[in-house]
Amino acid sequence: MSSTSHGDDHVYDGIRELDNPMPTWWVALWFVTIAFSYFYVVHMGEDGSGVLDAYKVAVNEQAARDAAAALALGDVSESSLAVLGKDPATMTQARAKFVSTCSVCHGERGEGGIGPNLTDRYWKNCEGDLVGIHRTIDLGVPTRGMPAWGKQLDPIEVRKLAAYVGTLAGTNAEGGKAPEGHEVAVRK
Amino acid sequence: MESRLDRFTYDDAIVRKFVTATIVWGVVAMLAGLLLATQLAVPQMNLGLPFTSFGRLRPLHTNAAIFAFAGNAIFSAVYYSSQRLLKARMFSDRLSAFHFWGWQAIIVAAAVTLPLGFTQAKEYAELEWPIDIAIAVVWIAFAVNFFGTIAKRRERHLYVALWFYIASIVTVAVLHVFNSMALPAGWLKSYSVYAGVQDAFMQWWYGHNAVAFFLTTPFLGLMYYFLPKAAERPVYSYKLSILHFWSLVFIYIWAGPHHLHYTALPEWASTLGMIFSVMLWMPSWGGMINGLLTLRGAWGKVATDPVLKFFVVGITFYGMSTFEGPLLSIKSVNALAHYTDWIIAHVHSGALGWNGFMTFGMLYWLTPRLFQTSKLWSQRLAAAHFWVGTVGMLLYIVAMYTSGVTQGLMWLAFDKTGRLSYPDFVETVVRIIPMYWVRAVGGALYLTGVLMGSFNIFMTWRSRPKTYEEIIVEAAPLGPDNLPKRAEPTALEKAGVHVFGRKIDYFTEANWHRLWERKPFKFTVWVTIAVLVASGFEVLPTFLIRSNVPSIASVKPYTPLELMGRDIYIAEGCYNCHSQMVRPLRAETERYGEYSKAGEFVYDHPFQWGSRRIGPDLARLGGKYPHLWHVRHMENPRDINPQSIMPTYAWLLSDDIDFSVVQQRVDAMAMLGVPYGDAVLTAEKTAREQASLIAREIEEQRGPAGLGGKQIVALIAYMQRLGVDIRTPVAEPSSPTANANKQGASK
Ligand code: HEC
Ligand code: HEC
Repeated sequence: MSSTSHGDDHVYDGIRELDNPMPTWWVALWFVTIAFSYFYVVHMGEDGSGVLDAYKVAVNEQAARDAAAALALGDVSESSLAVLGKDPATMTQARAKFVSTCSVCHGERGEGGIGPNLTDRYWKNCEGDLVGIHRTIDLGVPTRGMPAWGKQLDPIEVRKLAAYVGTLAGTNAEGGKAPEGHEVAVRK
Repeated sequence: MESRLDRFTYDDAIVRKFVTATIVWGVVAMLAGLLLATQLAVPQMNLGLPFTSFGRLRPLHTNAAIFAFAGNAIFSAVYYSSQRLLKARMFSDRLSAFHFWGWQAIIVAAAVTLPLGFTQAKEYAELEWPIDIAIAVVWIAFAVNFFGTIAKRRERHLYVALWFYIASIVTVAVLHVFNSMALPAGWLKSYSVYAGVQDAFMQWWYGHNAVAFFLTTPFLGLMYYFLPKAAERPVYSYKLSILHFWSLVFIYIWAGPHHLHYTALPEWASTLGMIFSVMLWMPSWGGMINGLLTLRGAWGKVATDPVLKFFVVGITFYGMSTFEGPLLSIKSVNALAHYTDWIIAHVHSGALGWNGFMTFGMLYWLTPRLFQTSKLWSQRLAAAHFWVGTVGMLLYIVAMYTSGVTQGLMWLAFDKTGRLSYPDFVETVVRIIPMYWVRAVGGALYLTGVLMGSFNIFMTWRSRPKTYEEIIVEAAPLGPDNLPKRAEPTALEKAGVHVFGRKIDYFTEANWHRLWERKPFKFTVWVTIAVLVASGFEVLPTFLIRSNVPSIASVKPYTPLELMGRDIYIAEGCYNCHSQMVRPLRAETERYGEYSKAGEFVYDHPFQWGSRRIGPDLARLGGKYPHLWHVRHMENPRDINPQSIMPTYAWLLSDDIDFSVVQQRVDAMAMLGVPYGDAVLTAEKTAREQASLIAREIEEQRGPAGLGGKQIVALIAYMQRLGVDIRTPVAEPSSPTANANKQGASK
């Protein structure tokens, strides 16, 4: 055997143990990982480099993006939402979104189920005004199981849905859930 | 010296028993795995029964694979090789038998209790306290038997395989005892004595080191014996053995927190876990290198011998997964990979590749010798097993990488307005279902290979002799250790170790270690110290330094009914699919809500942070849906969400809450320091009241009547509580919650 070999005492049940040197690249890489760890710890000791710092930066960036988007869309108002409700193409889109996103709880036609009937004239969270409906959809009713959709949907999507729900009011869908909340007189 | 030789025999009957158990449990574990794999592709495969639902079966699969399959494989290796390396029969045949039957009884107990929902809900440590005690007893019997054999050995030095066995036996005992500390609340129910962050820390100190000292070090010991035997080549480097052994033992222990990156664990701990994982890369590869280089000059044999084929691929997979481990421990990589199937790919390249293939390599070498048939029944069938297994494993792993990276990227993806591109969680599930099919096929192939192997070994066994020959071995007794100088170069001794140069020589030539190898007691003590010191540095600060878990005034104990609901959550194994830990990443806080704080979990005995999000995180579930939504969803998730892969839990609507145990459980919690105050006196009454209140609310929501005493109500009570404590109550703007929130957000 050409490799460096121990004497006979390095034999166990017929298994011989050589004493070759450790591969240089192995030792070198090990030192590299140790050096990396050292520098990492030193760097992480600096202020502003932690996980929560990175999180804060990301949240602030998004706040800036949201602010810019809100400026571009203009204010939410009865009239701006009503305009959306009058456009059949927009409402067809909104209905599709309503069916895919809201119908689990409100039924396909808004007749109610787990959530309240949206086709009567009774409201729990607003006066039946479009801005109020928009606010409910946007912020949700966290304590009573209505999700805050503003977190999940595009702002324009939320507006369209508010306008769509506005068109449902008073359509009294068949088999609708019994009214909840207070009655609001017909507007317009 | 040669004057008198001892004549003795080795106990191979016990090895035959362990080998049989390895094969049987291997098949069971993999069948369970295959069922689970299909359940994720087709939820109907949960069969609508409690005992066969994913959450209850998944722990059975992991426990069977680790402790039954790999465990019995380890014992086969230890019992066969230690006797020969120590030139001694096992210390006590009785203890060997006790170890064998005790261990199998524990496995059977696990196979019965886990599907019945008796669990401590800590991964790979799910078994309830009486079984935990049995494990400790059997393990001690094993240790006594093993160290007893060392004591009566006829070989002066301990070979490297034995170092690894020693480290495994000592450390597994330490891990098991400390992680399983629990307060019983009935015969098959207990609560971890640790809570929240501390429980998580203990659990992953355990979980990670179970991988190290149950699935790595014993298998390295196995490799150091069976590989040179099968290859008939000398082991490559003694010094490399020493260095990678001690560095593994010491460094592994620190790496546990890499399972908890971005969680409520203090960041210093997470950083420690990361850097020690990185530094662990080369020590791990030391074992791989020593294995592969041992094959120098034997590569021609690898091409023809299935045993060596299994070993080479096994060792290669060891190298791959020990490179991947440090990679996954880098925080930014972990942000993508954690909670996804990438981790499933990682553990299976370890389990199927390293543990599985090393085991089958060993079995193919061992069984003809154990059954005293000159050779295996069929070399070609063994080679076929190798190829089928390799292909199956590759399919499995590639599918899980793809699925993990896909889902991870989808969770993190934002559109150009900065909103989640895939806000609906199920979308990210539907996308990976095809990969679940590929995984199931890969797993089925691997299992096919295992069945081929079992058949081959069975046929080998059939051609055994009528009675096994008792082979008499001769070896000189050891006598007193009066030759400490013999192994030393005498020149060194004469010159005196005070000479600096000599000292260096002594060190680099590893002569000090050579001395330790003849002193098993000293050796074991040093291993124990290495493990305990590392553990102490890592774990103790979280217990001792209060600022690591800042308290939040508005966080209150669970009500008795919520506690019962939590116990149902635990029993059903919901934590196998759901995390309760929102990480401070915008993609998570957008999806789930405010990120989780350490102080929220102070009453969580045990913690329920989870490790894989097959379903969405539930940390902020409270109030998200009306009660009725949950009733419908638990009854059949597909009524709510047609593409859901969550199992149905219809029995929760018909099974009664066992109100008679409420008091006992609340008492146990109180004993653990949960401040229930006077409420502790009326636990059952309070629980009943809350249950009927919720039942009434469900009826008001036009839901089914009469749920008041049913388990679903307790579960809903718990789910509606999740994450609400730190939410600012709208009605009282200046409550302490608001402050806690502010502190949390600004830290
Ligand atoms: C998880 C079930 C659920 C889903 C999904 C859901 N809602 Fe609701 N929703 C509710 C519940 C419950 C309420 C009643 C809250 C209350 O009690 O004030 C509600 C209330 C409302 C209200 C206010 C009704 C009132 O009387 O004030 C509107 C408007 C509404 N939802 C619109 C939507 C829209 C639009 C969607 C889809 C984007 C949607 N909801 C999706 C459960 C849901
Ligand atoms: C096989 C994995 C699996 C198991 C086990 C499982 N779930 Fe789920 N769960 C899912 C998936 C996937 C979803 C997402 C689709 C859906 O809503 O059904 C989900 C969704 C949920 C949701 C809705 C979360 C949200 O924010 O929309 C709740 C609540 C829930 N599960 C509770 C439980 C409870 C309680 C258990 C135990 C009794 C459990 N799950 C067991 C996979 C699982």
